Amino acid sequence: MKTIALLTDLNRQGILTDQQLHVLSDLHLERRFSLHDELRACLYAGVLFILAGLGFTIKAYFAQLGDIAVIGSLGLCTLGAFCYCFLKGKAYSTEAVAPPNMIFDYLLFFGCTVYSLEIAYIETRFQPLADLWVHDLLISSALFFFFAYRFDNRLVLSLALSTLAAWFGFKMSPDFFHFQQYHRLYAIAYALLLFLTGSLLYRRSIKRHFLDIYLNFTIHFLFLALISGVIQYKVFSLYLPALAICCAIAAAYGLRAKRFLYLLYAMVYGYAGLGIVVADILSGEEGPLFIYFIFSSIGVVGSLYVLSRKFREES
Amino acid sequence: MNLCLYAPEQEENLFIRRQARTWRRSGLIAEAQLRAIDSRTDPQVKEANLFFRILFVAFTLICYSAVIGFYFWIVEPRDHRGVALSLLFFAFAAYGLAEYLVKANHWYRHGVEEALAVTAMGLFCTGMALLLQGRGYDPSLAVKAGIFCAVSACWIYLRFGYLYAALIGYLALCSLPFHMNLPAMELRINLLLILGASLLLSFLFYARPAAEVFREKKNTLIQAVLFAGLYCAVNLRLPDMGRSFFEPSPLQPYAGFPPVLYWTSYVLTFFIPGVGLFHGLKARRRAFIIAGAMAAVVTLSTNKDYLGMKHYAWDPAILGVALVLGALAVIRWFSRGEGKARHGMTAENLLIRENHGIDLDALGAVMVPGFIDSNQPPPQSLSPFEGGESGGGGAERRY
Repeated sequence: MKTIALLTDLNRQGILTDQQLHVLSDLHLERRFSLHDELRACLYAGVLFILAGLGFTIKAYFAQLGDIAVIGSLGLCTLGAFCYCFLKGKAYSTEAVAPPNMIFDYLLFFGCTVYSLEIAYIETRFQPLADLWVHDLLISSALFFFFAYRFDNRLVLSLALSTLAAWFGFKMSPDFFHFQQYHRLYAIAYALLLFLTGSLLYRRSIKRHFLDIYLNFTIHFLFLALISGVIQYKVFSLYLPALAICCAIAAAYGLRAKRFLYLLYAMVYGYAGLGIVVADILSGEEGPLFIYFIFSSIGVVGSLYVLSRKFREES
Repeated sequence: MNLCLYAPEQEENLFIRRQARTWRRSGLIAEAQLRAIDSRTDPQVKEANLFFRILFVAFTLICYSAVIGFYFWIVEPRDHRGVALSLLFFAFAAYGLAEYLVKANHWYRHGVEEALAVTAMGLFCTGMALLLQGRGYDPSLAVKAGIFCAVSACWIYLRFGYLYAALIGYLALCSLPFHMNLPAMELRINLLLILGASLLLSFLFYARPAAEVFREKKNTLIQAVLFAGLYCAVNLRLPDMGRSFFEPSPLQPYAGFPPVLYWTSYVLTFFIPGVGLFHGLKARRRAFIIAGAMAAVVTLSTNKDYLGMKHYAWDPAILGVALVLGALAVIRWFSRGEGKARHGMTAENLLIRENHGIDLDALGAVMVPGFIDSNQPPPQSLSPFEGGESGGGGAERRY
């Protein structure tokens, strides 16, 4: 029980107050034990199971249930969830706002996803917008953005960004990784739009804690698009220098802001892009390729070591 | 006897420092107080940031794999014996280098030494298996490789303290019955014996609370994984979970086991999660609470398969409603207690986790548009008699 001895010693020297000693000892000895994360996980899993059940039921039984019953029940769920959020939600603030209770965030997320399910059902069954159906996604995305900012909900922001990605023509599927020229440019446009929006809102101090979500989406879309360009055109294109510049920016930001996740992204995507070009140049030459991987990885490990030592000394 | 490269005091100091950072993040102590704790808990080892650690592991693996590839490209060993001896050489070289780096640089979970130690483990198993392989096919080879893997993983755990090495070791141990061509029942019994004995030994060995908290946390995690493994071995309908939901083909009666064993296993699927949850809550062991809760969800998911009942599309929704209502009931019960706590437990967030810039909840939300898109009914037919929805015809052509 070295921690307790240390805390008692600090208290005796007047560094820790009696109340702090009491609280920290309780936490350390788990006399006060929080089940917050476990209960949140339970709520989130529950909501996801409900959504899965709704999706499967609609797909399997829409004929028996009838369109009115499906649309009506989904509409009631959505309306109920949104009404609850507006009634219980705290006032808007540009800063982070804690939810009024633990279910709140998940209920808003549930409302938004059921709304998506309903719109998708109406569009698939009746095609009211015919060829313009894709713009439903844009409207849904705008609505989710509003909810995400109004109620400070990261899940809904993530949903808004992925719905916007769907409007740009992307969805989670194996085809996602086989970019055509058309998709590639759209991915770059989407990533830049997100980056600009996220940065602008951050600079204006509006929900600054959302920046990481914007940056994660930006980096993956942008880097995957650029890497797909490198795979197709190898060294003879603007994709390689663009990838190098983006990696440099991401790494510099990661180091400056001490957000090392972005350094990791920059290193992984950058090394993959360079590896593709080198493998193409040395095609069929196994020996030189091995030598490239040996020396390049030693170089990366060496530079990372210098950086990590620098940051350890600083901290 | 401590085989570990790190002294218990060093690991305990690291644990206290991590704890102090969490307290600081949660606003329980001030910056000066954190510095006071840091000054009294110098671990005398150098730890890398999580993301640096991941990068070190990845690039060391690339480097060492390329070195081995280059060696084989140059030397081109003629037979499997030559390959085996080369792999063993690289295994010992990697292990030696890992130990040297830890001792010379005082590295702790730095990444480079981890990648080398784990590579050494993999190369040693493959090398030994190849060395023992005769000219013909040897059916016991996989068993031997599994034993080598378990032994080397155990050594890496004892020496370096990597928790995942212990888990790899147990996984290798549990894989042994699968390589013995045993009938289903004997396979399950062997698995149960291995997992049950490991868990029992672990409980007996660590019956008294460890002097160091970090050791107790580590033991708890290993025990919880063994406990989850035990549950998986007991649940006879686990391999069919979800299959009967998507494929309406009937399941094998009693899962191919004698009825007595089948119904015993059914009772145990309820009993084991209960024990896990009870022990976790009583002894404040978070890993057991999580393992017990997850096992309980799996039990509810396989319940219909056990009873031979039909699955319906809304089953997940019912499970979801049960989970949400259960969680809400617990939250409400806690919030009505004195100081929003009961028996020292609370639903309030006491400690704030470190923000690494990536959010698993938000990642889950990304999947939702894809799920919605893939679960839509077909478009409505222009005529009510088209496409077989009119209730009788099912004609393909327009009326």
